[in-house]
Formats: sequence, structure tokens, C-alpha cells
Amino acid sequence: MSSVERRAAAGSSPALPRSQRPLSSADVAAAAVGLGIALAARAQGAYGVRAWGPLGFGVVAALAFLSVFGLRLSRAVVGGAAMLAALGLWAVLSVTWGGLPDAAWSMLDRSLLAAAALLLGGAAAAAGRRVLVPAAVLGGVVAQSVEILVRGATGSTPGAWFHGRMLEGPIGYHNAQGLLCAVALPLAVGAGCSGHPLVRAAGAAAAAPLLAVLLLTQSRGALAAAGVAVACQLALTRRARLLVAAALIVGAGAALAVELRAVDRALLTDGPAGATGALRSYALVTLALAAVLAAAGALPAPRRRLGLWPRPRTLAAIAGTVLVAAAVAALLAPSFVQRAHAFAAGLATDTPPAAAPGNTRFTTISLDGRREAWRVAVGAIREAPLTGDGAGRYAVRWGVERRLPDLYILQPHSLELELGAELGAPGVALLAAFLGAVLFALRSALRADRAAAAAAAAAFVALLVEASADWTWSFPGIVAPVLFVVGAAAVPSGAPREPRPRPLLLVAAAAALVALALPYVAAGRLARASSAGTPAAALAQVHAAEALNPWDPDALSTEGRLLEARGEYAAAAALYADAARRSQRPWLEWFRQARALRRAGEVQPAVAACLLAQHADPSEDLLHRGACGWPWLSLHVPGSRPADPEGATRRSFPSPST
Amino acid sequence: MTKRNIIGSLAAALVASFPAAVAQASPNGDQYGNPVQQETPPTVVKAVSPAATQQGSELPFTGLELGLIVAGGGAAAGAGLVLRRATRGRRQ
Repeated sequence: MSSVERRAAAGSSPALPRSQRPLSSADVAAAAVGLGIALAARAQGAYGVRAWGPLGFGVVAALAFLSVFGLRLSRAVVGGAAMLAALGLWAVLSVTWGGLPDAAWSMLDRSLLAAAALLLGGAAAAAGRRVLVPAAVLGGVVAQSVEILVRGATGSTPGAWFHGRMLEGPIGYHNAQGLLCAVALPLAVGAGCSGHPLVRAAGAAAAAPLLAVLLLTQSRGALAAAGVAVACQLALTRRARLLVAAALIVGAGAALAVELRAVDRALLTDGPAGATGALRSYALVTLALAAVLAAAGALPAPRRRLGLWPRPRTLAAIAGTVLVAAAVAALLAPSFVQRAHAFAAGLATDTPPAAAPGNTRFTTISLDGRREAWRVAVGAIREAPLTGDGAGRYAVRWGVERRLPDLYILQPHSLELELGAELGAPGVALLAAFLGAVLFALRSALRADRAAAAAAAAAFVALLVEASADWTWSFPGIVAPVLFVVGAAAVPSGAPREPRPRPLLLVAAAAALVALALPYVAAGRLARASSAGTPAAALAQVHAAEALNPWDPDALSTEGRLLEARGEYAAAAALYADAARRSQRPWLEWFRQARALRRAGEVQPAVAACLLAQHADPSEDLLHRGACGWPWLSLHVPGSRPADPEGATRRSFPSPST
Repeated sequence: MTKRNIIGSLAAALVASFPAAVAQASPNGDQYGNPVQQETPPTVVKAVSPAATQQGSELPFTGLELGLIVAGGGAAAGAGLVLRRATRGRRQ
């Protein structure tokens, strides 16, 4: 069959040029996927179960539907998805040695969602829709970036989107919002190096809003991830046109950084409401840069392939230029060395240095408490290297061992350390196996379509770099699109053959749908409880939520609060105790139990509950006030910190098991 | 229906079913927020008799807002008359 016949059989019209052809269902699907990605990002990056529930349900349902008709998938993609599913199941198994059931269930669901996204991307590639997947993802992220810029320029940005000088955005976390742009940037660069001038122009123009929002978040981690990703893309493709595109993007970033100073100053001095003028100028500069980049992208670009390493003469010239520039900078600015020293010293402190208004966060560097978070995780790995503490247990350990009293965290800000601390060596090994499968899939893909595979690999690298020093893996609205692109880049192994139905995949998808639906429906019931008209109606909703997800500490705690409000203190105290055993922050539930018992006049049990709360978080001053505000109870003076960070005073507390 | 049509319809249905705005706690607040600072003890709600809630000699309001009903009915009747007049010529 000729190519024309094949296209005719596929439903396209070869007689018409592309611009005059009606939209195909594949185009509609791509637009729908792009819209879905924008919506998932809009719903706080699908961080909560109310958002990742439907997202996961949709992705898994689509996969189940396709598996009935038959799928042709790369073995590496199937292997990677299997490793992710195994990671989720291992998290569930960890409940037997201390893991928290609700946290384990969440980890299982998110792993299944990621695995399904990877497989769905692979299915799209096998169906010949490889190109549409990165286009859809890029379109979704660009749509959201444009919305952020337009809202800023028109003064209609919701107040919660900014936190000081940082753009938290619709995702609600500046590093995650920045990362979303960082993973899309290689896709824009890849499109900017396409063979078609219109695609090149569109890709280059798309880079401007992505870069603008990335800088607006002032996320140093996301910026570093974007840099590493584009460098990785350049190294993999070694194309001169990609080097030109990268240089243009660096130039655009420099222009935006100059304008960002005014935005930073306005945000810090006048707040988001008073920064509309600066944000408008910033948006206009972005628009101008998009036009310039589009025009540059439309021009014919060099097709030369770069050598693996620069020639010695070129290398010497680069090194010489860098040395001369550094020497000139040191001579012209006497404080250059001191500033460089202060910049590097930021890594050694847990207190983030505050940059003056107009200087932006990019002029400082700090680990923002990560050293402490990593120390606690390493301690957990040393204590139980083979099994870890169990899913969700890191937050419990953080409460007991933290030395930074103002830092409340649930994850150690590193995917690898989180898995090591909670799931032990098998958890890290499963992650490594997943990464190996993805690398294998991308290695094969590089031979088939180097540019597309390099863009997908770069997006994956950005995701991994940021997740290694943050908790951004907890945002399925970012992880799923990247794995969707990676799956689409993979090439099915072996000789071409007819797709075959996969009953095993169908059964697994059906089980995954149940696993995804139950916590989602339970969370919906719990949300309805908070808006119920009467306490009885609220209680009925909470009971329904508990029936669907009996391990949710929030449901137990909410029921406790409802009973406490009705004066049923003993029953409320029992529920709080149950919630404490299932919660990542048990000290809060022990504190609530103490309050209920104290209201019931049960002083001795209330004191015991307070001691448990203080044991679970010795650094929390608030646990020495209110319901636990007995002056003779505190073992250290409120307002001070334990003198012995290893917890010499803590050893006199009763253990939680008592 | 071709397989491509099925995929297209499925993707569109997925997007349509996705909640555009899901009210939930901010991820930043969930990760870094101090839960104790937001902690307020639940207020005890005591059962009160209906007689205790009456103030003075006024009877409790148990009916409907008559003004709204009359306004809504009037608007509906007016719209009906206008429609009837507007379509009279066509019917004839």
C-alpha cells in the first residue's frame, strides 16, 4: 500500500493541503489532552485527591478502553510502568511494618496514574500520533502560562497566586509552577528546531511565556532544572540550530530578568494588587520577545551537526573568554569576590538570605532547610536500610527529630531520600529500575527520531533534577504529562505487528480504577461534611467517607470534632487517638485528644495525651499552651528549644505505643 | 466508528469530566503550614428549644418571600405576553 493509500485509509485527505483539511479526531484528541493538562495544572497540579482522582480515573479508563481494541507497546515502556506499579504495591505492603495506610494508598494511586500515563503515551506513539503528544502537552502548559501573564497584566490575579515576591500560581507552589514551565521548555525548543518554518516560529514563540512564568516564580531549582534539561537536549541532538535556539532563549531570559527586577520591587513594596503596572510591562516585554523569537524561528537555521566535543581551539577560546570576563568583573566591582563568597555561603545556612527589593531571589542561594530535612531522612535510612520506616512515616519522624522549629514538612525534599527513608532499599531499587527502563526506551527512540526523543529526555531530566531536591513528584499534574511525552517518544520493539488485545492490562486497569475511585469519593463526602447544614448531616457524610476509606485520619479527626462540638468528649477523644495512629502529624491529634479530655474534666488522661503530643514533636511550643497549658507539665521552657538536639530530654517522655 | 474517532471522543469526554476548579487546601499550606496555629476548638452546640429562640412577641417566619414570588410570576407572565405578541404575525 502506498503512503497516499495509507493516509486515505486512515481517513485523511491527501488531495488537500494540511491548512485546508478539516480537523481530524486525532487533532481533537490532542486539543482535549492539552486542555486536560491545563485543567490539571489549574487544579493545583492535581496535588489533592479531588483532582488526581478524576485525572487518574480518566487516564486509566482511556488505557482500559484501548486495551480492549489492542495495543502495541514498547517493552521498555511496559517495564517502566510495571516498576512504577510495583513501587506503589511495595508502599502498600509497607503498612505491615509501620507504613501509614492512607499515605500508602495515595502513593499507590499516584504510581498507578504515572504508569498509566506512560503506557498511554506509548499507545499514542504506536497509533502514529507521536508528534501530537508533545504538541498537546506544550499547548496546555503555554495556555496556562499565557493566562498567568494576562491576569497579571489586567490586575485580575487571585491574591493566593503570589506569596511575597514569588509566583505560587494556580499550582500553589512556586517550585512546581516553575517546573511545569521547565519541562515544557525543551518541547518548545524541540519544536523551534523543526523542519517546517511555521512550527519553528510557533515553538520559538511558545518559549517566551514559558520562560516569563518560570522567572516570575523565582524558583531557583526550576531554573536550574530547565538549564540542565536544555543542555542535555543539546548534548543529545548536537545540532547547530538547537544551539542557536538555546542562545536565543538565554538572551530572552536576560531581557526578562531585567524587567523582573521592577516586578520584584513592586511585589515587595506594594503587594500583588499594586504590581499590576510592573506586571503589565513584563507581559508586554514577553509579547515582544515572543514576536522576536517567532521571527527568528521562521528564518532558515543552520543544519550543521556539532561535534561531540568542541575543537581544542574553540575550547581554549571559551576558557579564555570566561577567565578574562571574571578578571574584569573582579577589577571593576571590588565587592565581586565578597558577593560571590556570600552567595556560596548561602548553601551552608538553613536561613534563607533575604535579597533586597529589586534584586530577586536569583541573586541569592540557599537550601532553605533541606540540609536538615535530608539529615532526618539519612537517619531513617541508616536505621532501617532494608525496609524503611514505611509509607508516609517520614513526616512522623520529622516531628520527633526536627531542629528547625518553624519548618513543618511532610517529605524530605528529595524523591530518592523519601523512598529510601520510607520504603528502604527495595523502594530505591524499584525507582532505579523504572529510570533504567525509561533510559532504555529513550535510547532506542533516539535512533528513530533523535529530536523528539531528545526533547522528551530533556523534559524527563528536568522533572528528575527538580524532584531530587524537592517534593514536586507529588504533583501528578506535572509527572503525568512528562511520562506521557516519554511514552510517546518510545518506539515499539521488534518487527511491526498487529496490535493485540491485552486482557491482563484490562484486569489491572479495572483494579486501578477501583483503587482510584474509593479515596476520591471518600474525599468528596468529607468535603460535603464541611458544608452540611446540620451536625447530623455532617456526621452522616463523615460516616460515608469512613466506610469508603477507613484509614483516612482526616475523616476520623473530623468526626471527633463533630462529637466534641456535641459535648461527647470521651467518644471524640477515642477518635482523635485513632486518627493519631494513622496521621503523618500525630502530635496534632494527640493535642486534640488532650483538649477533648480536658473539657471532659479527665485531667490525668489529658496530661498523658499532652505528653504523647510533646513527645511526637518536642520543638512545638504551641503544644505547651492551650489544652496542654499546664506549667508543671512542660519539660522544657516554652519559647526555648531543646538544648540537646539529639533529644536527651525526650527520653523521659513515654513512647507513643504506651 | 473508526478507532481514531473513538480515541478522539474518549479524550474529549475525559476533559469534559475533569473538574475545572477543585476547592482544596493549597499544596504549599499542606506541606509547610503550621496546623496548630489554625487549630480552634469546636464550639459546643447545645440543643435549644424553638420557644427559646423567639424574641419578643414576633412569630418565627416559616413561609416564603411573597415579594420574590410575585416578581418572578409577573416577569414570567410579561415574558409570555411579549412572546405571544411577537409571534402573532407569524402564526397568522
